[in-house]
Amino acid sequence: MSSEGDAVFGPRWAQRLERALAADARYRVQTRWFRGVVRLDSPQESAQIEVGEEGSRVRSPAAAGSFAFGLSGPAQSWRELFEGPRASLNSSVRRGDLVLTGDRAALLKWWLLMYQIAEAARRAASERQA
Amino acid sequence: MPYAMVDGCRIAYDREGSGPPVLFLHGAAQDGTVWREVVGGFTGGYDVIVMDHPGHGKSALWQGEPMADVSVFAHVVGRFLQELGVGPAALVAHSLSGAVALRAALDVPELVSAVVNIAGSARSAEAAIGYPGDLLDLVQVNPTDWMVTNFRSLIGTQLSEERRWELAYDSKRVPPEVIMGDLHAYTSCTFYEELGGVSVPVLNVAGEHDWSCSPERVRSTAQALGGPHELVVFDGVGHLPQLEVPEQLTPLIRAFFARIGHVAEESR
Repeated sequence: MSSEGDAVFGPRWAQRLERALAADARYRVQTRWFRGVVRLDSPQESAQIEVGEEGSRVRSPAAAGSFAFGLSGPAQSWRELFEGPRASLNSSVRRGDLVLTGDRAALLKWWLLMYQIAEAARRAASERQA
Repeated sequence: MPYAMVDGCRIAYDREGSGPPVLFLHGAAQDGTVWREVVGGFTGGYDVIVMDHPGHGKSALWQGEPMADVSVFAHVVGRFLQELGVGPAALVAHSLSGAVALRAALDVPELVSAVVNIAGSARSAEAAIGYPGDLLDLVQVNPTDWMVTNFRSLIGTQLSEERRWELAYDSKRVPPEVIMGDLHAYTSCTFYEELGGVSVPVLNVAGEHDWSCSPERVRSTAQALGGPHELVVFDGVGHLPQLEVPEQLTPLIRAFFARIGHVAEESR
């Protein structure tokens, strides 16, 4: 078990994801026309990615307030998405492990952005394990 | 690229070589170009035909609409072979078309001599577990990006990141309404119980990293087949073996054809 215990998100996870997003050219392309807050939730934890003019800020727990869209699911589903060998955003959502929250149509519209966040989180998770 | 007029629908196809006929069938949200790295290995000794399903590539829509049923896809394949005067042919089929080829082996057995089912199943994951809620309706908001990310995450670890995105981007060349038709066909496909009626030889191919049509799902399809069948699982490969490891897939299929006698007379 890591020093971060059973937590899926948390401040250090947020730092790693923020670094991964900042280094991701494809993510920057997807955020060129999006401004707002993306939220990730489990029953015990929360996180948010705030996309602004100056880049993306990640924090966990999430701040109170409105958000554009997000995903929610149990901790095990988040772990599977971030660390599972065959997992991806599409497979997790298609199985119903994670559900869409907020403006669901907007999330489908910005699906590539959400995909890049999930893939960056997978890279960040693999860096932690390395 | 010539066209065949099939019941009023313009079907685009390529044809090269001579020998026993082999028809290559692409999967959902793709077209015949997915076979480019494979067909060269067959033109010496085979009558190689690569078609674009209606609505895909350069083929027109079938009766003016996207197709959304595996049985209709199979019907078109049969009519296409009849129009060309070809058959029985070996069908080399990927993903959605794996189901189409097996369906054709049931519906028009006189036109099908063998099937190579690559990452295909007669019962899709969605038909088995269902799409949650109204997700399939929501996907209509942006089917193109849904499919791009599907494909991107379905490619195994043997290709570079750049090549994976390049292959995934190919799905953007298919109209959104056709992607939705493909998804509906794929998600509603379930004729697992009829597979005992497939009597032709079938080579089943799966990729270790394929989460959409997993090796387990391909294996369950193979085990239900009534005729002789084989299963090969590629390590480190995802949903697109013909693009990920064409140099391994081509000799695998040729060896299968040799085993079942689907070779030119002079080669026997």
